[in-house]
Amino acid sequence: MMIRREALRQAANGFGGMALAWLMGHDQAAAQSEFNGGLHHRAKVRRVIQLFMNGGATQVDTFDYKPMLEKMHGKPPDARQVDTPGQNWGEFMKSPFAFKRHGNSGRWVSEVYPKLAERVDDLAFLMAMTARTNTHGPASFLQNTGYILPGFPCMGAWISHGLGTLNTNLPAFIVLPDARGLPYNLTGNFTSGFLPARHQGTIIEAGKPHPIPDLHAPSEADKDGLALLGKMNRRHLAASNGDAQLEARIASYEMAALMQMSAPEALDLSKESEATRKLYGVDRKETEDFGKRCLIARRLVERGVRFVQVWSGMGGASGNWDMHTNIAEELPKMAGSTDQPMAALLKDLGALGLLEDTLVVWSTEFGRTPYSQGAKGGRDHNGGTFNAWLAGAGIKGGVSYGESDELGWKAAVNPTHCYDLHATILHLMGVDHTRLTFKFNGINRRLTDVHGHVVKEILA
Amino acid sequence: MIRTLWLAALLTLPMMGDPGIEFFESKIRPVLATQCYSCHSSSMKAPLGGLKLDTKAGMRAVVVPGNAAASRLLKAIEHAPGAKPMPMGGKLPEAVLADFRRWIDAGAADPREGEKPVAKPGADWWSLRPIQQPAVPPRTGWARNPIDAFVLAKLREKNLAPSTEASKATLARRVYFDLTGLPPASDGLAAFLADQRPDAYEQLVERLLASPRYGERWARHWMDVAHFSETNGYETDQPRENAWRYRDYLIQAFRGDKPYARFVEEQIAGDALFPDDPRALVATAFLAAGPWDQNTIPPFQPDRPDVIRAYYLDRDDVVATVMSAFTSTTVHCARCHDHKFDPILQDDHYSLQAVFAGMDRMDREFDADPAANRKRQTLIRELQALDRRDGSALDRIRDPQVQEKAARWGAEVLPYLGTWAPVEIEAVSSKRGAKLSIEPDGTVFAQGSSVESEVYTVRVRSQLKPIRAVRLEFLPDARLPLQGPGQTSLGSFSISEVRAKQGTKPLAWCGAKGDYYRTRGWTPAAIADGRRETHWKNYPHSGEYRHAVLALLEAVDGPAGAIDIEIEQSGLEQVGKFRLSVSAEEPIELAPEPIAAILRSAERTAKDRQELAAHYLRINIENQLAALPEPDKVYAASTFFDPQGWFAPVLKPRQVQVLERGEIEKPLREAHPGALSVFSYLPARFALSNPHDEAEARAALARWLSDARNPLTWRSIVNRVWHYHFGRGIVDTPNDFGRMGGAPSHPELLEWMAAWFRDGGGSIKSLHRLIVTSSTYRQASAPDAAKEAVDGENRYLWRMPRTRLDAESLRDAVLQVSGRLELTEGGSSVRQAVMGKDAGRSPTADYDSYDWGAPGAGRRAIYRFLLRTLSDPFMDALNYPNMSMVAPVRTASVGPLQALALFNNPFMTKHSEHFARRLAEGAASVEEQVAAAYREALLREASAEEIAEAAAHVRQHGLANFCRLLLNSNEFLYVN
Repeated sequence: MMIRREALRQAANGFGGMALAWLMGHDQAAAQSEFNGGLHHRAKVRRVIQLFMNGGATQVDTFDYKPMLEKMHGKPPDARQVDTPGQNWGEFMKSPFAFKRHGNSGRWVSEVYPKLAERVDDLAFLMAMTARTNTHGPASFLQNTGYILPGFPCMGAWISHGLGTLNTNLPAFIVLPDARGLPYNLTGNFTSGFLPARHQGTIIEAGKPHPIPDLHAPSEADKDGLALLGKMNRRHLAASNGDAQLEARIASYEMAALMQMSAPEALDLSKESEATRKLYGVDRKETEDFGKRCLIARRLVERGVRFVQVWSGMGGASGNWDMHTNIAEELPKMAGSTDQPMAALLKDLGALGLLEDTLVVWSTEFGRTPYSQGAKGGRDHNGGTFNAWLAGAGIKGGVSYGESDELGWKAAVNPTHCYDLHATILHLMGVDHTRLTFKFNGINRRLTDVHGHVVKEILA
Repeated sequence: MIRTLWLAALLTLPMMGDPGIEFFESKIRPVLATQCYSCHSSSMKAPLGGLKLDTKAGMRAVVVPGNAAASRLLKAIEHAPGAKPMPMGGKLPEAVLADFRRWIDAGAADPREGEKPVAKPGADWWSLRPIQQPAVPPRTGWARNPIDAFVLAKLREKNLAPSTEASKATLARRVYFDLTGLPPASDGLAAFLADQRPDAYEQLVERLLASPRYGERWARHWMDVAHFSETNGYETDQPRENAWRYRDYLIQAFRGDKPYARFVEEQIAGDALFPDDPRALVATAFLAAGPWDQNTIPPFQPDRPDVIRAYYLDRDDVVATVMSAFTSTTVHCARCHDHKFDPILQDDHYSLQAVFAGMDRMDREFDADPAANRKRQTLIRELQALDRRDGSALDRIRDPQVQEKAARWGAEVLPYLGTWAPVEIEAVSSKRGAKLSIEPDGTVFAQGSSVESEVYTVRVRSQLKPIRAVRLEFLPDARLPLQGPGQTSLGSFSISEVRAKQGTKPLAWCGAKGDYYRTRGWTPAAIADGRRETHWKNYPHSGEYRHAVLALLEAVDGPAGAIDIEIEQSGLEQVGKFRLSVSAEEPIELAPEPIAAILRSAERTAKDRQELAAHYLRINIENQLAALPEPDKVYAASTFFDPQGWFAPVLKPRQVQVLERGEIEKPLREAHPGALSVFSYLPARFALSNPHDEAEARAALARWLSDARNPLTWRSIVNRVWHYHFGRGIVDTPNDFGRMGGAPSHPELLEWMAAWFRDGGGSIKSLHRLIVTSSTYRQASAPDAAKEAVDGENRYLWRMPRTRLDAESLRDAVLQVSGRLELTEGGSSVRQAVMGKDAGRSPTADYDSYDWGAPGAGRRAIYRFLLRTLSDPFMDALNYPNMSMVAPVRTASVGPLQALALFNNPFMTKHSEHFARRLAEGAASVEEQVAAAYREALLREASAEEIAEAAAHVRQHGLANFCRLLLNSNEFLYVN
């Protein structure tokens, strides 16, 4: 945590500790340097990249291989057990994709992920994630904020609130939405809720001329303007007998200037080698958008951004993981757009040594039904069971925790909830999830509500 | 000896009442509540080990008073050998264990009684005690009014002294922003400064309170409290086009200084309590202001777990908002268990939910004309009462005069009802697997196939010539859920199309009529319009006869041949039992067969006469409603609206259960409408004359809240108003007056003001006047190191706090200074973004591309269209709160992203340019322009040094660039 304090002190040079407190947020508990930046115990992870598959990624066609589903193919499910929103459900449907064992760990992965399959020994799977809702909106809130209601702070905001920033020239929490559009719940998934506004996810629209609104390289006039503004504000400060919040605002403009200089550089992929861009698939139409954003995510964590969330898929009926119509046609598109970039991200982070203290998380809001939907073999929403994986710092690669039932319908052994995933991520960052609280409207709120267990089985 | 010492130690603690009990309340109960109740409480059906730690009896089973060492509880929490280590989450800190030892050794004082899980601390908590107005401390020279007397007394107690009075200019800027949300114009300020009358300031306050700008400012505060937005939030954030009327209601309410009791009552039950005032109906929009899950509630069958859960959470939001806003009580903390810290029972929470169990959030029809409105609302209520066969409706259908009128009407329409002949059924079939069988009485019974687009085909023959109309009757049957006539668990059916064919030749309809649910969403015309996406449903009228009549475009008059009647259904909602008949004439009037049968019969029973009267009354009301002028609409609490999907008004309030741990799978007992049970002098549960009339329950709650004896209501509002004036309340948690909330800094002042406000008629404007004319409010804001050493937070108000402009005030101030402010009042909201729809159903909002020259661009921030999720990032950066949650307090954070927004956002750069143009028009030299810029933006003369440096900057980079600096300066952004 020394890094942050020192950097802030430099930015706020000449100001008192109170101004610093204003800038850092007086709501934050001080992270402990003896804990490697953790709040309550030693941190193994200092930054996180979360890859979120918007729409509900199908588990039975990707990671959760179910031979029984092949046997049951064509047979109807017990109608009393069917609890799916759509109405045109059909028979059990085996995956149209071939599964194979991979790596030393022998993990089953379907053919839709050829590149990622090569890295399974780096991944730890949660094979029985479960959610108590089957609707995108509440389910996405749940996975991001721990509540099925809107208005609660998301994990990135909690991390920013609890641990603060690692740098002075970029926001602590950055979101990279799909170029096609925002996910379900729009920006509601990145909100700071009742936490102070500065913990809100900063959205970078990677394809746009101004990827971050209001943040672009300053002109000469801007630089002179900021200098004069500083002078005016200091004069006002002197006439006001000194005041920490006024000092903090002066410092905030100095930090803003630093950010204006460095943000465009962080997003400039021409600084990367041809080989690196190729590795991420930036050169192929299919993988260009997600690949670009994975590469930007790497550049951001490299520069000390705490939490980067990369989304695959927009809201609405298509262009995402919500595959109601035809799994055989829809899944290769979405999986294909992410497979190479994800594998590249893991490889690249490893090669640069960043995996030493960076965590990569892959997750989604729910899974899909083992039975079909519609005439062409889609699958409906299924909160009963789905998958997530983690890789990087503090993670035991090649293991899995939890099992779904033999059809991949409901979680059966060692189910895990969003609370457990969140608790585990916070734990890796040196935070006890039960002690990271914020009092709002009469309640000490937590990311994990009143739940959550650290999944020790997947930790190194 | 040791024990006595402990007691002595306890007695020295600054507590009131029994020290043992106080110790229990402050040290023991919170631990029990947070660590133990989740497994060991009487709110559970089966507490683990049978142990109920929320009762005294349960506690005594594991505690030996006076002997900690012998107590099982202590062994468990100490993880002693042989004891089961508790709690499950891990050993408690040593300090907590010490508290338990201390408490047991001192006698284990426990305020609870026997088996009863009494939530405590009791009604003696400061905010729950009856209001008793204290005497005002003696006033000295500094004290202008009672507020000052209380503040000064507290300052003296802390060895502090008030600050000097702020300059006239500072005071003017402060009170302008405070009361109107705008700075004074430079010429207006000059006039005030020149006003040498001794009461110049008081006169200014009067002008500001009378200004239309005042209502616009204070309405916004209440919108934060209500978490008002104009979209639903959640997954798709769809607009509510008629929500803005509530904003106008608030502006008018503040402007007209509506007495607070009335303000409270209108927002909870204005429709029921003040039927002659259409605006009072609009006020119930308060109950609908929050988010709404349109992707769960409307699309799915209402008995699905997701929908049931969504309704509980939806009502929880309403309850939390009502009780936070009006009573500063955190009743939402008692959803899963009794409140852990305050005397709020879990049953109280669900009783409050039951108050709102009959309403939904939806567009509600009303008329601006009070007479028309009264008529419409009365008719709707009569219709609802008739549907439910409520007492008043029963009286009417039993009234001989009404029955006589109904009989006369019946005699008139009888000739026009048509004569129906049964058909001969040759064959029945289904497209997607339903089993159809022909019953002996000629009806068709259907079973199975819950799939989309099921089609029943019935091949019929008739000797009738010609055939001009076909009748479809849907019949209740004991074999169907809720007696049908549909097959779903709700007895519902949904028909999208009915087709007729002779061989392969389709027979065209010229239309369909039917007896149908009164709202416009599901009309019977839908079954003959050739469109599969429209449909006719019977929901929620389960167990009732329905019928439709379809008229043929051309009569079938040839040789008798088979006709295929196809009934296409939608959703999973298939018909369970039906009958077909044909007629040679096209009927002019419609009556359901049971009514028609009554009309045809000569002998009528008492029940027949009532049924006839009810039918007559119903069509009478429907005709009267149809004759009323086109109504206005407001998005509000509603019980009468067009259905969407499954989403339709209910006839009776939904049943609310007390839920163990808040889980719908674990209902404990039914909840009945009520409020908090803590006050002996206010009803905990409401005695309602008609439990089916949801408005009566809301009216009872409204009166409970506005009761002069309800101490929370009056303390809450004076503290809230104080909070907005000083940036911090006397209680700094305006929505929480419980144990976990802040302690009042000036408890006597709060008491005095609450009583003064209540007894003076609840005038908010009088309260403003009292506050802003006090010496306390008029103090300068300069810091003082010596006083800060004593009270660094300025809790005792030895100075006026310096505050940053909130998002709206900053925006409006920029508009005013740049000359772009447009003072149009009211009406539908201005979309200050380029809005569209994405490929799904979600809105898009591009704020950066908005044209700041567009009509309405200069209107005050309160008139912006407020998207709940996609709110303006510029406003967010200035701490505009997330309106999915109530926002009792605005934060004022500082950071680089906020600085960037203020420096670079198009709103700021564009208005800097406007400001510069305005200056350039009025002044020739750069120096004069700069001086004018200081005057307009900062309301003061610039020094020679300031002019020189600014002029140099302007010459190099232009005037607009400098204007932007002024609008970014701390001096502009802060109010002293």
